[in-house]
Amino acid sequence: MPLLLEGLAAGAVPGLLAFGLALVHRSTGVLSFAHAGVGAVGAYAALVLGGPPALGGVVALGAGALTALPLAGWVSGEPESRGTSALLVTLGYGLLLEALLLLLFGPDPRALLHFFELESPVSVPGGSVPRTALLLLAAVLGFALPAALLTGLGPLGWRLRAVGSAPRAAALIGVRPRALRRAAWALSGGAAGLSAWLLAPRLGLEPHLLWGPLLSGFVAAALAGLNAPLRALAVGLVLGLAERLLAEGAGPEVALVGRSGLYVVVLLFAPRGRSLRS
Amino acid sequence: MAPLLASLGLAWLGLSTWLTLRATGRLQLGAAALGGIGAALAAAVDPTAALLAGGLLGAGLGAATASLAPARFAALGLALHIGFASALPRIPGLGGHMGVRAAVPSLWALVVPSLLLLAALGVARSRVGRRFSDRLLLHRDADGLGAHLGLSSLGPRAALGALEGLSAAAGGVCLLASSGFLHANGFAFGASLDALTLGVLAHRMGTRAWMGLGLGAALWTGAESWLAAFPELRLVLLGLVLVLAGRRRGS
Repeated sequence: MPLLLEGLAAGAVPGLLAFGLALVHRSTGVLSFAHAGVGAVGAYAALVLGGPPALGGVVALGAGALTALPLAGWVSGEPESRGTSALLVTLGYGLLLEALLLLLFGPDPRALLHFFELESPVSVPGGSVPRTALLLLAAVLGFALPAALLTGLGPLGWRLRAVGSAPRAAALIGVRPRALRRAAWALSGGAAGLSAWLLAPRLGLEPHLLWGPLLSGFVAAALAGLNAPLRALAVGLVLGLAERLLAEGAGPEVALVGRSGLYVVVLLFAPRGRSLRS
Repeated sequence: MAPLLASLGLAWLGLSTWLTLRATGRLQLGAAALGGIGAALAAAVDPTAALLAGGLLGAGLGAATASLAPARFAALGLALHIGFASALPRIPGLGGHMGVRAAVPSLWALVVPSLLLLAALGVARSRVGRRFSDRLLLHRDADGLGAHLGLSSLGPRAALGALEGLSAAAGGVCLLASSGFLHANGFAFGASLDALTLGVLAHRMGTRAWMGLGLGAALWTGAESWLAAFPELRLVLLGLVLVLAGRRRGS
């Protein structure tokens, strides 16, 4: 039980990021490389605004959402503006945000504290887990799962899909592509902000904090077919569990190198979702 | 000699990105990772073997990624980067925990990769090369007409991949020769962004490759010592160029 909980907690951040990436891809057909910068801005906002530590996650989520909004205007999501141009814009915007953070706060990691002692153990059946694992799982259950259910299934999910695959036809039948795209970018940016806030106490808050986890997010989203936020979240959690099991069995060094190799293989050969065919 | 080698290294890495963009319309984020692998092989075995291995690795990757969509292709480049940065320092005998350390002869690095690449580019402009290039354009343009006609892009992609890999490995070897050391993390995130921006800029401006890449690399290398004191400014510049290059045709 402790291993299962810790594994799922390790997959929480990749799952959150994969959810955001899949959500944006579902509604715009674009894979965002800006999320590392967007998420870092969210976590720095929580650091600067201070206040009750319990509100830090909400601040990070809100700031991430606001920071991602300009992309809704720059990356229109129309079929002719997808592909390399959109990738360049998201990559460039992410770099600009990271540069801004470097200018304001410098390259040294900052300490971002949560509202309780993260590493103190909590008893669960079969042993104990650190509190941080429970916090990560709470973020998944409290934010990502409801958001993924809302945007992945039901009428809203279908509208987002319609906006992504045929925006003009969707507009003709009364769906509002701009509003939906803005909502998708904002939710996705919020997930990135929350991810950085969750990771910062353990890794230290610095502008490039999210690049590694973002790769896991890409892989999870790709395995889920890129258009399925709920499935992407689930795959992210399973990836975390698999990595944790590998680290437990073969050691952290092997797990780190093996993970990168595995990701290359997955991206090369994993089954492709509909939107991934060239 | 060192600034010349650094410019040349950056230009070869940029060429790799430029070739991918021009032939397939996709963004090559893994060029510097391939270059780093080439540099690591140069340090461990021999510079010539590193260039050939870079070409072979590129050909394999080119063939394997022939049908990958742009988003997945770019994510694969990122995976190669992070994989390179995390795996390389753990290989014993390659300079410890920071990256690759080796003394590659400067004159060799200046002449041999250039001759090899020029020969390869000459083949690319030959009749066979042009046929391959046309095949790739048929796949890239006209809604993937090549695929609808049942033409395979595997051979042309492998050939293009070999050229990209050779170019990236040449870049890595030249950069290694310029300072005798390649920082794994710095190389993955710094040189790759420089090369990416340079390749994208040269392609978007529609200049001849040698002019855009050569001049750009020389200017960038010249400004590098000044920019090294302001890493934020360097990122701002790269970010701005990428956003503007993307918006130029994207909106």
